[in-house]
Amino acid sequence: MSITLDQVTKQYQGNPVVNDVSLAVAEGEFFVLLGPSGSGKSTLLRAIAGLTAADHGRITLFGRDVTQVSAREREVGFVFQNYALFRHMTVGENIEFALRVRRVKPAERARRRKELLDLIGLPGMDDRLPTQLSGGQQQRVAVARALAHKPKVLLLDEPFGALDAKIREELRRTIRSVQRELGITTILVTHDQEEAFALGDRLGVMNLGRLLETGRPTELYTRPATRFVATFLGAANLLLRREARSGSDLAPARAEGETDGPLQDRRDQEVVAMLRPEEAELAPDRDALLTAFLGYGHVEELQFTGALERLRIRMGTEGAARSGDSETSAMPPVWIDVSRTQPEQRAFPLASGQRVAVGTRRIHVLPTPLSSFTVCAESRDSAARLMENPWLVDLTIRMQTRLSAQVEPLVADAGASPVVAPAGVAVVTAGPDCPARVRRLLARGVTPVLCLPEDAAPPSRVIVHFAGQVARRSTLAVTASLLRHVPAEAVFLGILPGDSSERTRTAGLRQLLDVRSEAQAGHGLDVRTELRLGERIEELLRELEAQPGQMLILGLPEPGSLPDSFEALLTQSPGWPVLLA
Amino acid sequence: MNDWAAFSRDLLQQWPLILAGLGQTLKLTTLVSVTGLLGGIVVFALGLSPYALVRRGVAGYISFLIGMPLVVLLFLMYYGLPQWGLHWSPFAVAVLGFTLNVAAYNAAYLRTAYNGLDPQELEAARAQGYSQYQVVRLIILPQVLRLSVPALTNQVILNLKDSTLAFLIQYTEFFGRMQELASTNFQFFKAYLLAALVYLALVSVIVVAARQLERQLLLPGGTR
Repeated sequence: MSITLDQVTKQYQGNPVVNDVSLAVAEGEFFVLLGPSGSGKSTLLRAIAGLTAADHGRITLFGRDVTQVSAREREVGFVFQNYALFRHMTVGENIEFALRVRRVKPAERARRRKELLDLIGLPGMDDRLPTQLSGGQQQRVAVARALAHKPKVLLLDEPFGALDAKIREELRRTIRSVQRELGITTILVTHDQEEAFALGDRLGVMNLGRLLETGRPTELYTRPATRFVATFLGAANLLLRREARSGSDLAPARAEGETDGPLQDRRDQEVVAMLRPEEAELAPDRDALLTAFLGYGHVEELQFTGALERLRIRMGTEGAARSGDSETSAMPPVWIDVSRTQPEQRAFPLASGQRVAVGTRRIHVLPTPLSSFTVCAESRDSAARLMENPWLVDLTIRMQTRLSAQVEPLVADAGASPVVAPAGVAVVTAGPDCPARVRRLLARGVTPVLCLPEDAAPPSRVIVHFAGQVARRSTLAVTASLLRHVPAEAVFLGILPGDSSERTRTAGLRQLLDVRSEAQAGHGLDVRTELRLGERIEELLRELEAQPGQMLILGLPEPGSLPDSFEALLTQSPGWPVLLA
Repeated sequence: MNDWAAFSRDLLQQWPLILAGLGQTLKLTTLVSVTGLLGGIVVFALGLSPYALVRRGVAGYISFLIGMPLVVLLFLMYYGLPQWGLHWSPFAVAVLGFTLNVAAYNAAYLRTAYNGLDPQELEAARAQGYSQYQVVRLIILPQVLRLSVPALTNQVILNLKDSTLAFLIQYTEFFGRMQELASTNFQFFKAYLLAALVYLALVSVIVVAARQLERQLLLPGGTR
C-alpha cells in the first residue's frame, strides 16, 4: 500500500470534520474522494499532505509513518483548486523552483522543465508569467510544478473547480494520461460525480466527516450500501418496502390492501430499496409492463434534457410503494423520478397529468436496518412533542426517510387494541415510564427502540456498548447505519468486572478489537475502542454523565428483553438518547 | 529691495554651512530609509514566527512605536537616557530613534501586503519542500516588497520631512541651518519659504524615482 490512513481525525472547535477515517490506496492507483462541500474531503487531503495536522490517527506513505513529519519532507505533490502559482515567477521558474530548493544542477533543471512542459502540453511557455495564462493553462502549470520534484504521491484538491466545462474535460484527460504515464499514486478530491466516474480507479464517498464507502465506480453505483452513496452518486429513488418475515428478501412489492391486514404481533420487515430513474419502466397500465409492478401514479413534471426525458411521477395511494399505516402515517406522498431514452419516449409518449403504471427493472435493497422512524406514544400530544425534536427531524431528513406516529395506550391490557407493530425504529419518550414502553415494544418483536428525551440535543459523542454478544451482528449494523448520519465522534466501550483476572481482561480486549474489525470489514465503519473496569451500569452512567450531548447505543444481552438493571439508563433526568438494539 | 539684497548676502555667506546641513539631512534620510527598511523586514519576518510569544512581542513593538510621537521618542533618548548614564551623540540618537520608528511603520505596511497574499501559494511552497525560511525569502518577501513599493517610498518622503525634527536634539541639519540664517537677519518668511522650496524639490525627486521603481516592479495584471 502506498497511502494508508488509520483512524485519522481532525476537529475544528470540537466538531469532527474528519471522523475516524481509515483507508488504503494501492501503488499507482487513481483514487477519487467524493463528497459534498463540508464533508471533510479536502481537510483529509490536506492532512495527507501535511498542510493540516491530524488530531488523532496515523498516516503512512510507502510504509513510512509521516503523521509527525512536516509537509516539506513528505514528498507529495499538491495541486490547489485556484492554482496557487507563484505570481512573481515565470512558468519556468515556477516549475523549476522545487528543484532549485533541492540544489539540482541547472542543466538537469532545464531538462526536467522541458520534459514537464511537454508532458502537460505547454511546450515553450517557460517565460510567461502566470497572469498571462488562461485558467486551464495555469492549472496545467500547477500540475507540472507539483510533479517537478518527482513526488511519490500526487494530491489534487478540486483541480477543475474553477474551469469551464470544455477545458475541464480536456484537463481531465491530460491528468489521467499523465497519471498513467508516470504511474504515480494519486488522490483527487471532487464533489462532481461525473468527474469521479471518469477518473477514478476506485472511489471513496465522504459525508459528515466519515468515509462511508469505497469501491469501484460501477460497484458503488449499482450496489451502494448506504442511502447517502445511493443518492449522491447519480439520482436515486429511495423507497420503503414491507416484506413478510417468511417471504424471500426480494419479493415483489405487495399489492394494495395486504399491508392493512390483521398483522398484530407478527412483524413485517421494512427495507429501504433504491430505484435508479433509468431502471423504472412506464406503461399505460399494469398489464402492459414488462417488469415488476410498483404502483400507479400521475405524471407531475416532464423535462426534456436532450438525450433523456426526466419525469416526476406522483404515486397514488393504490400503489404498494406507500406502505405505512394510512391512518397514522404522516408520510408525504411519494414521488418517483424517472428518466427515459428517446426510443422509450417514442414508444409511449407522455403528457403532464397522465396516469401511468410504474414498473421496476432493477431494485437494489440497501443493507441498512434503519428503515424509518415511528414515534410510539400514549397520546397525540406527547407524540407531537417527540416528533418536533429537532435532532429527530434532522436525522430523518438526512436519512431521507419517513417519520410517523402511532398512538396507543401504554398499559398492556392484552387485546384491548391490537395495533400493527410499528415499522422501522420505534421512538419512545425517555423518562420514568420508558422501561415499560420499551418492554411492551420488545415483547412484540419491535427492535431497535430509540428512547429520546423530548428536549434532547444533537449528540456530539456516541457511546456504543454491547451487553451481550448474541445480537452483536445486528447491533453493529444498526450502529453503522446511525453513525453515518450523525456528525459525532463514536467509541466502542467495553466494560469488564473490576475483579476480572488478567486472562478475562485480555479476552475482553480481544473481543472489543474483534468488534472493531467486524465493523470495519462489514460496514466500512471505523470506531475507536476503550476498555473500562467496573460495574457495567455504573460505568455507563458515569460516562454519560461526564459531559452533556452524548448518546448511547446499547446492545441488549438477550434480544427482546430489557433486564431490570438497565432501567437506570433510561430514566435519568436530564437524560440522553438511548438506542436499544 | 534692500531686504532681498541683505538676505542674499547672508545666504551666500552662510552657504557652505547650509550646504553641509543639506548634506546632513540627506545623510540622515538615506541612512534611516535603509536601516528602517531592513529593520522593517526583520520585524515583519519575526511577525510570521510560529511562536506565539515572538508574534505577540512584534505586535507590541509595532503598536507601541506607531502610537508614540517620534519627537517624544527622540527626546526620551537624547534628554532622558543621560539620566541613566547613557550619553549618545545627536546623530546616533537620530539614527537609532528614526530606525526604531520607521521599522515599525514599514513592518506594518509589509504585514498589510502579506494579508493580501494567497495563503495557498504559501502552502504550495511548503508542500514542495520549502522551509519556513525559504518560504519567507523566496515567496513572501519578493511579493510583499513589490506590493508595498508605494507605501515604502511614501515612508522615504516622510523620513525626509521628519528629519527636520532632528534639529530639536541639536543635530544640525538643513532646517537647523536655515533657522540660523533666519535669526541672523530676521527674514523668517524668506528663509522658511526657501527651506520649503528645497524640501519640495527633494520630495519631487523621490516621487519621480518611486514612480519609476513601481513601474518596473509591479506585476502585470495588477495586484492579483
